[in-house]
Amino acid sequence: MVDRNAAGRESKPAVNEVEKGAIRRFAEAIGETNPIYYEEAAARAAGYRSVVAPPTFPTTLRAGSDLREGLMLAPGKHLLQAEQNFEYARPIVAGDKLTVRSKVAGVEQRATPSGPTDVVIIEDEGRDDSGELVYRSRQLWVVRMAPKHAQGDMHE
Amino acid sequence: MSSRSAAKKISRAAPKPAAKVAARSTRKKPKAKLAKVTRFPASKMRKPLPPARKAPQPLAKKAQPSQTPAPALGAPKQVQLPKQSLARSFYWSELRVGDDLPPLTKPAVDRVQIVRYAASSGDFNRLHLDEPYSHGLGFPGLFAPGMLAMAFVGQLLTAWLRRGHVRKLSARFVKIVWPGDELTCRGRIAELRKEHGACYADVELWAENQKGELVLRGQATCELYESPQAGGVDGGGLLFALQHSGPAHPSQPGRKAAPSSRGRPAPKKR
Repeated sequence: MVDRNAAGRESKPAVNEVEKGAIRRFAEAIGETNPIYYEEAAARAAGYRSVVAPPTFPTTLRAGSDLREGLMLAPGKHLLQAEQNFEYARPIVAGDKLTVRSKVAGVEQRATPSGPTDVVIIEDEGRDDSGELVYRSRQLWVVRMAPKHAQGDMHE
Repeated sequence: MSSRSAAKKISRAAPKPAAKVAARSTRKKPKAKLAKVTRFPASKMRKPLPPARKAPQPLAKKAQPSQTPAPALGAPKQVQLPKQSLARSFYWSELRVGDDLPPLTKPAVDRVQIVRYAASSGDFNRLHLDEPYSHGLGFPGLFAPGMLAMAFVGQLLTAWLRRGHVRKLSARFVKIVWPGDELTCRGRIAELRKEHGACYADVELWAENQKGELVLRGQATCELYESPQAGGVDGGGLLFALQHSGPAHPSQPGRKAAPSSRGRPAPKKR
Protein backbone atom coordinates (compact mmCIF):
# COMPACT_ATOMS: atom_id res chain seq x y z
CA MET A 1 0.00 0.00 0.00
CA VAL A 2 0.92 3.59 -0.08
CA ASP A 3 1.86 5.72 2.86
CA ARG A 4 -1.35 7.61 3.39
CA ASN A 5 0.27 10.05 5.71
CA ALA A 6 2.10 11.38 2.70
CA ALA A 7 -0.86 13.58 1.86
CA GLY A 8 -0.01 17.19 2.54
CA ARG A 9 3.71 16.57 2.55
CA GLU A 10 5.66 19.37 0.95
CA SER A 11 9.08 19.59 -0.56
CA LYS A 12 11.57 22.32 -0.02
CA PRO A 13 11.50 24.93 -2.77
CA ALA A 14 14.27 24.95 -5.34
CA VAL A 15 15.26 27.61 -7.82
CA ASN A 16 15.32 26.45 -11.43
CA GLU A 17 17.02 28.59 -13.98
CA VAL A 18 15.48 28.10 -17.38
CA GLU A 19 18.34 27.76 -19.83
CA LYS A 20 18.32 27.94 -23.58
CA GLY A 21 20.33 24.75 -23.81
CA ALA A 22 17.84 22.89 -21.65
CA ILE A 23 14.98 24.09 -23.82
CA ARG A 24 16.88 23.07 -26.93
CA ARG A 25 17.62 19.60 -25.64
CA PHE A 26 14.05 19.10 -24.55
CA ALA A 27 12.77 20.32 -27.92
CA GLU A 28 15.17 17.99 -29.71
CA ALA A 29 14.11 15.05 -27.58
CA ILE A 30 10.44 15.51 -28.44
CA GLY A 31 11.18 16.19 -32.10
CA GLU A 32 10.07 19.81 -32.12
CA THR A 33 10.95 21.74 -35.25
CA ASN A 34 9.56 25.17 -34.44
CA PRO A 35 12.44 27.68 -34.40
CA ILE A 36 10.99 29.57 -31.43
CA TYR A 37 12.37 26.75 -29.26
CA TYR A 38 15.84 27.01 -30.76
CA GLU A 39 16.62 30.50 -31.96
CA GLU A 40 16.46 33.69 -30.07
CA ALA A 41 15.68 35.68 -33.22
CA ALA A 42 12.75 33.48 -34.15
CA ALA A 43 11.38 33.63 -30.63
CA ARG A 44 11.62 37.41 -30.55
CA ALA A 45 9.97 37.67 -33.93
CA ALA A 46 7.12 35.65 -32.52
CA GLY A 47 6.79 38.09 -29.64
CA TYR A 48 8.74 36.37 -26.85
CA ARG A 49 11.52 37.88 -24.78
CA SER A 50 13.81 34.96 -25.50
CA VAL A 51 13.72 31.33 -26.54
CA VAL A 52 10.43 30.00 -25.25
CA ALA A 53 9.79 26.66 -23.56
CA PRO A 54 7.41 24.07 -25.04
CA PRO A 55 4.20 23.66 -23.05
CA THR A 56 5.23 20.46 -21.31
CA PHE A 57 8.65 21.82 -20.38
CA PRO A 58 7.74 22.45 -16.71
CA THR A 59 7.98 18.70 -16.26
CA THR A 60 11.74 19.23 -16.31
CA LEU A 61 11.65 21.70 -13.42
CA ARG A 62 12.22 20.28 -9.99
CA ALA A 63 11.43 21.16 -6.43
CA GLY A 64 13.92 20.49 -3.66
CA SER A 65 13.02 16.83 -3.39
CA ASP A 66 11.07 14.21 -5.27
CA LEU A 67 8.02 13.41 -3.21
CA ARG A 68 7.42 10.19 -5.07
CA GLU A 69 10.41 8.71 -3.32
CA GLY A 70 8.90 8.99 0.14
CA LEU A 71 5.73 7.06 -0.57
CA MET A 72 6.92 3.70 0.78
CA LEU A 73 5.38 1.51 -1.85
CA ALA A 74 4.93 -2.17 -1.13
CA PRO A 75 7.19 -4.54 -3.08
CA GLY A 76 6.04 -5.07 -6.66
CA LYS A 77 4.19 -1.80 -6.67
CA HIS A 78 5.27 1.02 -8.86
CA LEU A 79 4.05 4.38 -10.00
CA LEU A 80 2.80 5.11 -13.45
CA GLN A 81 1.69 8.54 -14.44
CA ALA A 82 -1.87 8.59 -15.69
CA GLU A 83 -2.73 12.28 -15.90
CA GLN A 84 -1.03 15.62 -16.19
CA ASN A 85 -2.46 19.14 -16.00
CA PHE A 86 -0.64 22.38 -16.61
CA GLU A 87 -1.81 25.92 -16.09
CA TYR A 88 0.27 28.81 -17.27
CA ALA A 89 0.06 32.42 -16.17
CA ARG A 90 2.47 33.35 -18.91
CA PRO A 91 4.88 31.65 -21.27
CA ILE A 92 8.12 30.38 -19.76
CA VAL A 93 11.19 31.77 -21.50
CA ALA A 94 14.93 31.28 -21.22
CA GLY A 95 16.33 33.40 -18.43
CA ASP A 96 13.42 32.83 -16.08
CA LYS A 97 14.40 31.92 -12.55
CA LEU A 98 11.56 29.89 -11.19
CA THR A 99 11.17 28.79 -7.62
CA VAL A 100 9.46 25.43 -7.73
CA ARG A 101 7.54 23.88 -4.86
CA SER A 102 5.93 20.50 -4.79
CA LYS A 103 3.42 18.87 -2.53
CA VAL A 104 1.42 15.70 -2.23
CA ALA A 105 -2.08 16.98 -2.78
CA GLY A 106 -3.75 13.69 -2.12
CA VAL A 107 -3.49 9.95 -1.69
CA GLU A 108 -6.76 8.37 -2.66
CA GLN A 109 -8.34 5.15 -3.61
CA ARG A 110 -10.28 5.03 -6.84
CA ALA A 111 -12.50 2.43 -8.31
CA THR A 112 -11.19 1.03 -11.56
CA PRO A 113 -12.32 -1.90 -13.70
CA SER A 114 -9.72 -4.05 -11.95
CA GLY A 115 -10.75 -3.03 -8.46
CA PRO A 116 -9.77 -0.23 -6.12
CA THR A 117 -6.50 1.39 -7.00
CA ASP A 118 -4.40 3.87 -5.07
CA VAL A 119 -3.58 7.11 -6.76
CA VAL A 120 -1.21 9.83 -5.67
CA ILE A 121 -1.72 13.41 -6.72
CA ILE A 122 1.30 15.68 -6.75
CA GLU A 123 1.05 19.38 -7.37
CA ASP A 124 3.89 21.69 -8.30
CA GLU A 125 4.00 25.40 -8.77
CA GLY A 126 6.64 27.73 -10.13
CA ARG A 127 7.01 31.39 -9.22
CA ASP A 128 9.31 33.95 -10.70
CA ASP A 129 11.69 36.37 -9.00
CA SER A 130 8.93 38.69 -7.98
CA GLY A 131 6.84 35.91 -6.52
CA GLU A 132 4.34 35.86 -9.36
CA LEU A 133 2.84 32.50 -10.16
CA VAL A 134 4.08 31.32 -13.55
CA TYR A 135 2.74 27.80 -13.82
CA ARG A 136 0.98 25.07 -11.92
CA SER A 137 1.33 21.40 -12.58
CA ARG A 138 -0.80 18.56 -11.29
CA GLN A 139 0.18 14.96 -11.80
CA LEU A 140 -1.86 11.91 -11.07
CA TRP A 141 0.13 8.75 -10.46
CA VAL A 142 -1.42 5.33 -10.31
CA VAL A 143 0.06 2.86 -7.86
CA ARG A 144 0.26 -0.23 -9.93
CA MET A 145 0.90 -3.85 -9.02
CA ALA A 146 3.03 -5.88 -11.36
CA PRO A 147 0.44 -7.31 -13.76
CA LYS A 148 0.44 -10.95 -14.65
CA HIS A 149 -0.38 -10.20 -18.21
CA ALA A 150 0.61 -6.73 -19.29
CA GLN A 151 -2.05 -5.51 -21.59
CA GLY A 152 -0.79 -2.05 -22.14
CA ASP A 153 -3.80 -0.52 -20.51
CA MET A 154 -3.06 1.89 -17.74
CA HIS A 155 -6.35 1.68 -15.95
CA GLU A 156 -7.13 -1.98 -15.92
CA MET B 1 41.01 41.48 -25.95
CA SER B 2 44.07 41.06 -28.13
CA SER B 3 44.30 42.45 -31.60
CA ARG B 4 44.77 38.92 -32.79
CA SER B 5 41.36 37.80 -31.66
CA ALA B 6 39.90 40.91 -33.15
CA ALA B 7 41.52 40.03 -36.44
CA LYS B 8 40.10 36.59 -36.17
CA LYS B 9 36.67 38.01 -35.73
CA ILE B 10 37.00 40.20 -38.74
CA SER B 11 38.26 37.46 -40.93
CA ARG B 12 35.35 35.34 -39.87
CA ALA B 13 32.79 38.00 -40.24
CA ALA B 14 32.44 37.71 -43.96
CA PRO B 15 31.52 34.07 -44.47
CA LYS B 16 29.11 34.01 -41.56
CA PRO B 17 26.00 35.51 -43.12
CA ALA B 18 26.37 33.22 -46.08
CA ALA B 19 26.57 30.23 -43.81
CA LYS B 20 23.54 31.42 -41.95
CA VAL B 21 21.60 31.76 -45.14
CA ALA B 22 22.58 28.26 -46.11
CA ALA B 23 21.61 26.93 -42.72
CA ARG B 24 18.28 28.63 -42.88
CA SER B 25 17.47 27.51 -46.34
CA THR B 26 18.34 23.91 -45.59
CA ARG B 27 15.81 24.03 -42.82
CA LYS B 28 12.97 24.24 -45.24
CA LYS B 29 10.86 21.51 -43.74
CA PRO B 30 9.38 23.30 -40.76
CA LYS B 31 8.68 26.21 -42.99
CA ALA B 32 6.65 24.08 -45.29
CA LYS B 33 4.71 22.81 -42.35
CA LEU B 34 4.09 26.28 -41.05
CA ALA B 35 2.92 27.43 -44.42
CA LYS B 36 0.42 24.64 -44.46
CA VAL B 37 -0.90 25.66 -41.10
CA THR B 38 -1.24 29.16 -42.34
CA ARG B 39 -3.77 28.04 -44.83
CA PHE B 40 -5.81 26.20 -42.32
CA PRO B 41 -8.34 28.84 -41.32
CA ALA B 42 -8.50 30.20 -44.82
CA SER B 43 -9.82 26.94 -46.16
CA LYS B 44 -13.00 27.57 -44.22
CA MET B 45 -13.47 30.97 -45.73
CA ARG B 46 -15.16 31.91 -48.92
CA LYS B 47 -12.51 34.32 -50.05
CA PRO B 48 -8.95 33.11 -50.08
CA LEU B 49 -6.86 35.59 -48.12
CA PRO B 50 -7.60 39.01 -49.50
CA PRO B 51 -4.61 41.16 -48.74
CA ALA B 52 -6.74 44.01 -47.44
CA ARG B 53 -5.02 45.20 -44.32
CA LYS B 54 -7.37 47.81 -43.07
CA ALA B 55 -10.68 46.09 -43.12
CA PRO B 56 -13.26 47.36 -40.68
CA GLN B 57 -13.15 45.95 -37.19
CA PRO B 58 -15.10 42.77 -36.69
CA LEU B 59 -18.65 43.36 -35.54
CA ALA B 60 -19.67 39.78 -35.34
CA LYS B 61 -17.25 36.97 -35.61
CA LYS B 62 -18.95 35.35 -38.54
CA ALA B 63 -18.80 38.32 -40.87
CA GLN B 64 -15.06 38.46 -40.75
CA PRO B 65 -13.37 37.53 -43.98
CA SER B 66 -9.89 36.28 -43.32
CA GLN B 67 -7.58 39.18 -43.50
CA THR B 68 -3.89 38.86 -43.29
CA PRO B 69 -1.42 41.47 -42.31
CA ALA B 70 0.18 42.42 -45.55
CA PRO B 71 3.60 40.72 -45.41
CA ALA B 72 3.45 39.08 -48.78
CA LEU B 73 3.88 35.37 -48.37
CA GLY B 74 4.06 35.17 -52.10
CA ALA B 75 7.36 36.89 -52.73
CA PRO B 76 9.55 36.12 -49.75
CA LYS B 77 13.30 36.15 -49.53
CA GLN B 78 14.46 32.86 -48.15
CA VAL B 79 16.04 34.50 -45.16
CA GLN B 80 12.95 36.37 -44.18
CA LEU B 81 10.53 33.56 -44.57
CA PRO B 82 10.64 32.04 -41.09
CA LYS B 83 9.97 35.35 -39.45
CA GLN B 84 7.11 36.15 -41.70
CA SER B 85 5.49 32.82 -41.33
CA LEU B 86 5.69 33.19 -37.58
CA ALA B 87 4.23 36.63 -37.76
CA ARG B 88 1.36 35.32 -39.71
CA SER B 89 -0.93 34.06 -37.05
CA PHE B 90 -4.61 33.63 -37.26
CA TYR B 91 -7.19 35.12 -35.08
CA TRP B 92 -9.89 34.10 -32.75
CA SER B 93 -12.51 35.76 -34.91
CA GLU B 94 -11.58 33.42 -37.75
CA LEU B 95 -12.05 30.20 -35.80
CA ARG B 96 -15.14 28.01 -35.72
CA VAL B 97 -16.25 25.45 -33.20
CA GLY B 98 -15.68 22.04 -34.74
CA ASP B 99 -12.69 23.11 -36.82
CA ASP B 100 -9.95 20.51 -36.87
CA LEU B 101 -6.39 21.39 -36.12
CA PRO B 102 -3.95 20.19 -38.77
CA PRO B 103 -2.98 16.71 -37.59
CA LEU B 104 0.60 15.87 -36.72
CA THR B 105 2.05 12.44 -37.38
CA LYS B 106 5.29 11.89 -35.54
CA PRO B 107 8.08 9.53 -36.57
CA ALA B 108 7.86 6.23 -34.70
CA VAL B 109 8.97 6.48 -31.09
CA ASP B 110 12.18 4.59 -30.57
CA ARG B 111 14.34 3.69 -27.60
CA VAL B 112 16.83 6.42 -28.31
CA GLN B 113 14.10 9.00 -28.20
CA ILE B 114 12.87 7.58 -24.90
CA VAL B 115 16.38 7.86 -23.47
CA ARG B 116 16.78 11.37 -24.79
CA TYR B 117 13.48 12.36 -23.32
CA ALA B 118 14.46 10.95 -19.94
CA ALA B 119 17.76 12.79 -20.07
CA SER B 120 16.26 16.11 -21.08
CA SER B 121 13.37 15.90 -18.65
CA GLY B 122 15.45 14.58 -15.77
CA ASP B 123 12.98 11.82 -14.95
CA PHE B 124 14.77 8.50 -14.89
CA ASN B 125 11.89 6.22 -14.05
CA ARG B 126 13.25 2.74 -14.72
CA LEU B 127 10.06 1.60 -16.38
CA HIS B 128 11.04 3.69 -19.37
CA LEU B 129 14.75 2.92 -19.45
CA ASP B 130 15.51 -0.45 -17.94
CA GLU B 131 14.21 -3.33 -19.99
CA PRO B 132 14.83 -6.11 -17.40
CA TYR B 133 13.21 -3.96 -14.72
CA SER B 134 10.01 -3.35 -16.64
CA HIS B 135 10.06 -7.00 -17.67
CA GLY B 136 10.27 -7.92 -14.03
CA LEU B 137 7.15 -5.91 -13.35
CA GLY B 138 5.29 -7.84 -15.98
CA PHE B 139 5.57 -5.59 -18.97
CA PRO B 140 6.74 -6.98 -22.28
CA GLY B 141 9.48 -4.37 -22.30
CA LEU B 142 10.23 -0.75 -21.65
CA PHE B 143 7.87 1.87 -22.92
CA ALA B 144 7.63 5.61 -23.43
CA PRO B 145 6.48 7.88 -20.62
CA GLY B 146 3.04 9.32 -21.18
CA MET B 147 4.59 12.75 -20.99
CA LEU B 148 6.30 12.11 -24.32
CA ALA B 149 2.97 11.66 -26.05
CA MET B 150 1.75 14.77 -24.27
CA ALA B 151 4.74 16.67 -25.62
CA PHE B 152 3.74 15.60 -29.13
CA VAL B 153 0.24 16.93 -28.56
CA GLY B 154 1.78 20.14 -27.27
CA GLN B 155 3.71 20.39 -30.51
CA LEU B 156 0.53 20.03 -32.51
CA LEU B 157 -1.09 22.72 -30.41
CA THR B 158 1.66 25.32 -30.55
CA ALA B 159 2.30 24.78 -34.25
CA TRP B 160 -1.32 25.58 -34.84
CA LEU B 161 -1.54 28.40 -32.34
CA ARG B 162 1.38 30.52 -33.51
CA ARG B 163 1.21 33.81 -31.66
CA GLY B 164 -1.53 32.79 -29.30
CA HIS B 165 -0.71 31.31 -25.94
CA VAL B 166 -1.52 28.11 -24.16
CA ARG B 167 -3.14 28.84 -20.81
CA LYS B 168 -4.03 25.29 -19.84
CA LEU B 169 -3.01 21.91 -21.10
CA SER B 170 -4.06 18.61 -19.66
CA ALA B 171 -3.83 15.01 -20.71
CA ARG B 172 -4.89 11.59 -19.62
CA PHE B 173 -2.66 8.74 -20.68
CA VAL B 174 -5.01 6.08 -21.92
CA LYS B 175 -2.74 3.47 -23.42
CA ILE B 176 0.94 2.72 -23.21
CA VAL B 177 3.17 3.93 -26.03
CA TRP B 178 5.66 1.24 -27.04
CA PRO B 179 8.87 1.66 -28.97
CA GLY B 180 7.95 1.54 -32.65
CA ASP B 181 4.57 3.17 -32.16
CA GLU B 182 3.79 5.90 -34.62
CA LEU B 183 1.53 8.50 -33.08
CA THR B 184 -0.81 10.84 -34.85
CA CYS B 185 -1.98 13.82 -32.84
CA ARG B 186 -5.24 15.53 -33.57
CA GLY B 187 -7.25 18.39 -32.22
CA ARG B 188 -10.58 20.08 -32.61
CA ILE B 189 -11.99 23.36 -31.41
CA ALA B 190 -14.56 22.59 -28.75
CA GLU B 191 -15.51 26.06 -27.62
CA LEU B 192 -14.82 29.71 -28.33
CA ARG B 193 -15.41 32.24 -25.60
CA LYS B 194 -14.58 35.72 -24.51
CA GLU B 195 -13.88 36.61 -20.90
CA HIS B 196 -12.91 40.02 -19.61
CA GLY B 197 -11.98 41.12 -23.09
CA ALA B 198 -9.70 38.16 -23.73
CA CYS B 199 -10.46 35.59 -26.38
CA TYR B 200 -10.14 31.91 -25.64
CA ALA B 201 -10.37 28.74 -27.64
CA ASP B 202 -10.91 25.44 -25.84
CA VAL B 203 -9.41 22.64 -27.83
CA GLU B 204 -9.89 18.91 -27.55
CA LEU B 205 -6.75 16.96 -28.23
CA TRP B 206 -6.00 13.32 -28.70
CA ALA B 207 -3.33 11.00 -29.99
CA GLU B 208 -3.71 7.61 -31.56
CA ASN B 209 -1.19 4.97 -32.52
CA GLN B 210 -0.69 3.29 -35.88
CA LYS B 211 -3.47 0.83 -35.08
CA GLY B 212 -5.89 3.66 -34.53
CA GLU B 213 -6.02 3.08 -30.76
CA LEU B 214 -6.46 6.08 -28.55
CA VAL B 215 -3.33 6.54 -26.44
CA LEU B 216 -3.93 10.01 -25.04
CA ARG B 217 -6.85 12.29 -24.53
CA GLY B 218 -6.38 15.93 -23.61
CA GLN B 219 -7.72 19.44 -23.50
CA ALA B 220 -6.21 22.84 -23.88
CA THR B 221 -7.30 26.41 -23.36
CA CYS B 222 -5.61 28.91 -25.60
CA GLU B 223 -5.68 32.66 -25.62
CA LEU B 224 -5.64 34.30 -29.03
CA TYR B 225 -5.73 37.69 -30.60
CA GLU B 226 -9.24 38.54 -31.60
CA SER B 227 -8.34 40.04 -34.94
CA PRO B 228 -5.31 41.32 -36.82
CA GLN B 229 -6.04 44.82 -35.64
CA ALA B 230 -6.21 43.90 -32.00
CA GLY B 231 -3.21 41.63 -32.14
CA GLY B 232 -0.93 43.51 -34.40
CA VAL B 233 -0.94 46.99 -33.03
CA ASP B 234 -1.28 47.21 -29.30
CA GLY B 235 -1.51 43.70 -28.03
CA GLY B 236 -5.28 43.75 -27.88
CA GLY B 237 -6.79 41.08 -25.74
CA LEU B 238 -3.59 39.30 -24.89
CA LEU B 239 -3.34 39.92 -21.22
CA PHE B 240 -0.01 38.62 -20.32
CA ALA B 241 2.11 37.85 -23.29
CA LEU B 242 3.37 41.28 -24.06
CA GLN B 243 4.34 42.16 -20.55
CA HIS B 244 7.19 39.82 -20.86
CA SER B 245 8.02 40.06 -24.48
CA GLY B 246 7.87 43.72 -25.39
CA PRO B 247 6.03 44.86 -28.48
CA ALA B 248 8.49 43.24 -30.83
CA HIS B 249 5.97 42.88 -33.56
CA PRO B 250 7.86 41.68 -36.55
CA SER B 251 5.93 43.59 -39.16
CA GLN B 252 6.78 46.87 -37.49
CA PRO B 253 10.52 47.11 -37.28
CA GLY B 254 10.23 50.78 -36.50
CA ARG B 255 8.92 50.05 -33.03
CA LYS B 256 11.83 47.97 -32.00
CA ALA B 257 13.26 50.65 -29.77
CA ALA B 258 10.44 50.33 -27.30
CA PRO B 259 10.88 46.93 -25.61
CA SER B 260 14.07 47.79 -23.78
CA SER B 261 12.26 49.02 -20.71
CA ARG B 262 11.97 45.47 -19.49
CA GLY B 263 14.33 43.00 -21.11
CA ARG B 264 18.00 42.96 -20.54
CA PRO B 265 19.96 46.13 -20.02
CA ALA B 266 23.10 44.41 -21.25
CA PRO B 267 23.58 45.82 -24.75
CA LYS B 268 24.12 49.32 -23.47
CA LYS B 269 27.62 48.60 -22.22
CA ARG B 270 30.25 47.62 -24.61
